[in-house]
Amino acid sequence: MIQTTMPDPKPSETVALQSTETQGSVDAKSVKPSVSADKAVAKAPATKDQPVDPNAKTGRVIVVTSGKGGVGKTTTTANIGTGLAKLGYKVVLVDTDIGLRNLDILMGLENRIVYNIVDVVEGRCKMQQALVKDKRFPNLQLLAAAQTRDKSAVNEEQMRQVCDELKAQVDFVLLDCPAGIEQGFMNATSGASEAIVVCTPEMSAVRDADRIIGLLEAREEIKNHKLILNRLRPNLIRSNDMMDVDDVLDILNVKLLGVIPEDRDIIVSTNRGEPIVMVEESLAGQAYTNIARRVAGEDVPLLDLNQPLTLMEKVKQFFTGKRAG
Amino acid sequence: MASITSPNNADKSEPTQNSNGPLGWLVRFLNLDASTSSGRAIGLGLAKKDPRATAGEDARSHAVNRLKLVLMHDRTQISPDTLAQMRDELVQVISKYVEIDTEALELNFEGDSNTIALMANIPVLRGKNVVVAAS
Repeated sequence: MIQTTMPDPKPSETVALQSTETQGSVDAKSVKPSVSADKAVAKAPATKDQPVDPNAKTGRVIVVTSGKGGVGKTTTTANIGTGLAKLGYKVVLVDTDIGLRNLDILMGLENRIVYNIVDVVEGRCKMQQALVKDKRFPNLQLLAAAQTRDKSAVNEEQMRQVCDELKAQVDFVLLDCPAGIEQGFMNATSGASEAIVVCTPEMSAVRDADRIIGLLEAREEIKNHKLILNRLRPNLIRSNDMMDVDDVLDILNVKLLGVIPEDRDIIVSTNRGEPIVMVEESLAGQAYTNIARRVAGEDVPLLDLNQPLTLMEKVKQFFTGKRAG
Repeated sequence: MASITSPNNADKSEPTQNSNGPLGWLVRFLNLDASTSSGRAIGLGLAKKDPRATAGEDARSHAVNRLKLVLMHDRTQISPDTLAQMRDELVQVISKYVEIDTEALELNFEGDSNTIALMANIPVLRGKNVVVAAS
């Protein structure tokens, strides 16, 4: 894989930080170098006054949503965020699933959470105190959800304020949306200007995604939304037992951002608290890296998920005389 | 499929059309015979097949077709019940002017993901002499 990775100790020697226009779509090619140094300049010790930062950024705020639970929203948020950070962008991940926080676990940062988004909103701490820096990627930070509160703890206006404050400091703010279409979804989407809809090739997930897309289209703030099809099983598609990418795109009438294969490595990496994009040889990791690059505006072709036939499939093909489609 | 050891037994117990030959036991052992592979995968499971699958009606197209129908009802927020009511009322209105075959009448949603159309197929039996009241 051709990939500029940023060595942890000296981030300044590699890729220059880049910032993109807020109003650009996910596809926008307008990736231009920013003047800002990538060191922790913007992270100077919090002063009483709002720091007047000449290098203030206008980051993009992207919400990752799905409707149905368990399709991979949080995994997707963690991996796109980590992928973008690997590419050299400054990223904040925000867990908006208040009461059911999980993004910290997937990032392996669960032991380092001191303050959360509710503490920020209710004024118990400064934003900078609540942001947890990922030691593996100095330009990646997490704002955790509160575990002991519920969705009413943060309202839409407060969410907008949090997003506005964050996007002035970073290139990308990724919001991990709770499942469902209730207040939690409304809150999470209120601060965002772009959306990523995660879906699996299952009927219930596609139906819920259709509902979510309808709601996103009704929100004026959301300028565009794209689909990630997760947990694809090429073997099942080959045997016509599972819907294909084109089937889902056709049904939902939505643009594709990327496709992730079902991959046991995701379970393993989740258990280790390492997003799969850090495992470069894994197929799902490469797929997420590609998606991160597309989010950043690069034109990356879809990954070929068709692994060579398994022995059993070859034998079966030989006997049945059917060529797999 | 317990016929691996004794081909003679197999021929007696389950004489099927295609697997009667001298190699019939092999055919059935490998589960290649269409007439016996309709259900579970036995033997090596080489010809494992979904028993519900008929030609062109695999799980994938089932899912696509069912989803399209469900989403049309979701998007239009018209339930099958409402559709039936519409159908009945349409019959009433049209019957005022022409005699129609109410049995053969079809009223369904059709279309792709962009547009949804309400398609009605109303077979007309004969016209009625209706004097339209002039206003």
